[in-house]
Amino acid sequence: MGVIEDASTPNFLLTTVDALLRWGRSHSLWICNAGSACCSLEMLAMGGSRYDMDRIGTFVRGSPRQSDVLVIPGPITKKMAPIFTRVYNQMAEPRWVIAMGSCAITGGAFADSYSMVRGADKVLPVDVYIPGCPVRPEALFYGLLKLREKVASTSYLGAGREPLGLYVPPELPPEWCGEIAEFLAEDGGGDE
Amino acid sequence: MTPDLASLAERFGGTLDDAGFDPTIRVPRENWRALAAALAADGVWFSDVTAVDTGETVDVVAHVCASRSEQITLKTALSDDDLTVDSLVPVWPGVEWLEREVYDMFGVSFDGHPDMTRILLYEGFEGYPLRKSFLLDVEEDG
Amino acid sequence: MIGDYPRLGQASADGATKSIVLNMGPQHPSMHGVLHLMVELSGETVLACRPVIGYLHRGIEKLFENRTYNQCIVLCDRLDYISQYSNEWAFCRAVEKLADIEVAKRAEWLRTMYAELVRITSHLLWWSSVGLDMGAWTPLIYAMVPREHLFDFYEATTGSRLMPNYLRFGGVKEDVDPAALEELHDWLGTEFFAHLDEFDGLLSGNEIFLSRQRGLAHMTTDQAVAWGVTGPMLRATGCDRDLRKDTPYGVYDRLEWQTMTDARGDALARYTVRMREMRESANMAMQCIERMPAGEVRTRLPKVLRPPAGEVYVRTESTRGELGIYLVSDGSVKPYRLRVHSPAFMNISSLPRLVPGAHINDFFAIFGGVDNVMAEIDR
Repeated sequence: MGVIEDASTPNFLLTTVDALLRWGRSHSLWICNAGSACCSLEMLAMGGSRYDMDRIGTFVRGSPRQSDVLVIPGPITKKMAPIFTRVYNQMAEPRWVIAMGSCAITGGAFADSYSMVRGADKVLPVDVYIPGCPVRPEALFYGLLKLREKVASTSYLGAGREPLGLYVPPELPPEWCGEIAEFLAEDGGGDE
Repeated sequence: MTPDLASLAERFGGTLDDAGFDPTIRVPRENWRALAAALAADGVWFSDVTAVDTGETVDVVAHVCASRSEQITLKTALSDDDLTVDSLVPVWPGVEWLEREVYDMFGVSFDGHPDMTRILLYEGFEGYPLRKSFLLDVEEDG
Repeated sequence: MIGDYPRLGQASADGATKSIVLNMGPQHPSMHGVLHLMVELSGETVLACRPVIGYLHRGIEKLFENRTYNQCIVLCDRLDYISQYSNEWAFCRAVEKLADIEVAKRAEWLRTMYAELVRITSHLLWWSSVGLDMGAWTPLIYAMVPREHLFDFYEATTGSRLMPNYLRFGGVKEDVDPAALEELHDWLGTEFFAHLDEFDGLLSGNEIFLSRQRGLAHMTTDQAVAWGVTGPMLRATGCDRDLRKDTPYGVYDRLEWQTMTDARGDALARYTVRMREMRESANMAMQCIERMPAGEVRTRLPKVLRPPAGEVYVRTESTRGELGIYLVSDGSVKPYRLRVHSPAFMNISSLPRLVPGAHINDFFAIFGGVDNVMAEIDR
C-alpha cells in the first residue's frame, strides 16, 4: 500500500491507529530496575500501597528488554556509566529515560568528586528531569505523568518509524568502559 | 587480657604513645606483620586498616581491639619512594578488602596480598585519590 | 585455614569440565543496589564468587576533606541511606569526643530513639529484600506500610522522610512535638507489633522459607571475627558482641533491653536475629519516649567548629554492625582525614567465603542475610 509506506507523517488513514498506539504506550510505562542509591528507596516507596504506581500502569521490571523507561535514581559514577548505556541499548524502542534526583541531573551533592559523572545526560538521552534530594514519591509520580504527556504526543508512525539503533554517548571516555568500549564503539549494534 | 603494650613496642623497635584517646604503637615497616601477629596471638582482633597521608609520609593505620571496650592504634610510616609494606592477611584474613582499598586510594602495595587490585575505582583510573597531592578538579568535564 | 577460599578460575583447573562465570548485576532485578557478582558455576553449583564493588563510589572520604564539619553531616546521611541517623550519630560522636563537646541531655534520648527507629525501618527493608530474593513479592508491599508510618513521623519531626540532616554537634537540630511522640508511642505499642506478628505469620513460619534457609552457609564465631564480620551477622553465630552494651553511648545503659543472639550460625539464625532486633528496638524506642527528660536539645557552639588537632576512632553500633569513624583533625575548619569503616563492607567481604558449594538458588538466600547497602560499601 504505497500511500501508507511513502508518507513521511501519519496520514488520515493511520491517525486512529496512531492515537491508539500512543494511548497504549503512555498508559503502560514499565520501569527498568536500575536502582543505585537513595532515590531508589523512594522509587520502591512509590511501588508500595500508599503511592501505588500500578494505578498508572507502571511497575518495575527486572529486565531492560521488558521495560520502556529507564529511571536513573542516584549518582552515576564513571564505573557505572557504561553499564547504564549498555542497559539503555538493550531496551527495545521506543524507550525513554528519567533522571531522578539532583545526582542524576548534575551530580548533586557529589558534583566535585573525582569519580562522578556530572549528570545522566552526559551518557544517556534524558527525557524528564525530576529535581530533589531525595525525590519524594509524589515528585516521581508527577515526573512519570509528565513523561506520559510526552509519550502521548510522540508519534512513531511515519517520520519516526525507523528505530534509532545503538546509542553511543558522545562523551564516554573509553578508559571508563573496559571491555564494553568495543561494543559501544560499533556502529549499528549487533543482533541486540 | 590486655597485652603489655610497652614491652611489645620495645620488642619491635617502636614507640608507644599514651597521650591520645587510644594507646598508639608506632613501629618501623619491617616489623608491621610481626607486631600484628604478636597481638593476634594474644587474642586481639582487628577493626579497621586504613592510611593517612600526613604530607611527608603515608601512615598505614590499623585499629585493633584488645577487648570489647579497649582499642589500640597501630601505625607504620611509609615514605613516598617506597610505598610497600607486609600484608596482614596471613594474620587477620578479613583485612583483604581493607588493604585493597588502601592500595586503591593511596597506592600502598601490600606484600603477600592474594589479590592486589583496585576495588572501588574502575580499572583504568590514574592516580590515588586520597593522597593530598591529588586535587579535586571541579572544572574537569564529565 | 580460616582465610583461604576458592578464587574465580581456580576450581575448574582440573580440565575435566568447563565452568561458566555468570555476571549478576550491576543492574539486576533484586533490591541489592549496584553490586556486580561474578559467580563461577559448575552446572548449578557455585564454585567461587567475586563481588565487584565500586559502582557507587562517589569519593565521599575525599569530599569530606573539602567540607566544613557542619557540611559533612549532610554527606553522612548519604552513606548508609537506610539508617541515616546512625551515620550522623557516629560522625557527631567522633567530633564531640575530639572537641570535648558535651551533648544536651534530652538530645541523647532523642538520638537513641531515632537510632532505634531507624534500625526498625532498615530491618523492615531488609525483610522485604529477603522475601524478594526468595521469590516472594508480598513482603515488599507489606513492609512498606509501617515504613511509611515511620517516614511520616520522621518528616513531621525532622523535616524529611529520608535525608533528615537532624543531628548537630552537641545535640539535635530541634525539639520534637510531644503529641507526635505520644502518637508514635501508641502506634509502636499496638499496631507495629501487630504488623510484626503478621510478618512472622507470612514468612517466618513458612515451611518453604524455613527449609530454604535452615542449615545454609554456616559460620562460626571464630570465622566471623577473623573475617571482620560484625553486627547481626556476628550475633547470629552466638556471640553477643554489641557496642551498645560493650561501650555504652547515648542512653543505652539506662534502658532495659537485651542483645539478640542466635547460636545456630546459619542463614535462618541471621534472619531470626534481625526479626527479634526489630521488636527489641520498638521496646527501646518506647522506653525513650516514656522517660525522656525535658530540657534543651542543643549546646551552644561557635558557628564554625575548629576541633583541636588530634585523632580519634569511634565505633558505633549501626544497623549492620560496627560503623567506625576515624577522624584526624589538624585544627582547621575541615577534617584532615575522615575515614568511614563500613560494616556492610566487611560483611559482604565474607560472601565469597560462605558460598562455595552452595546451589545457585541458595546463593541469594545466603546473600539476603548479608543485608548490604551499596552506598555504605562504596562510599
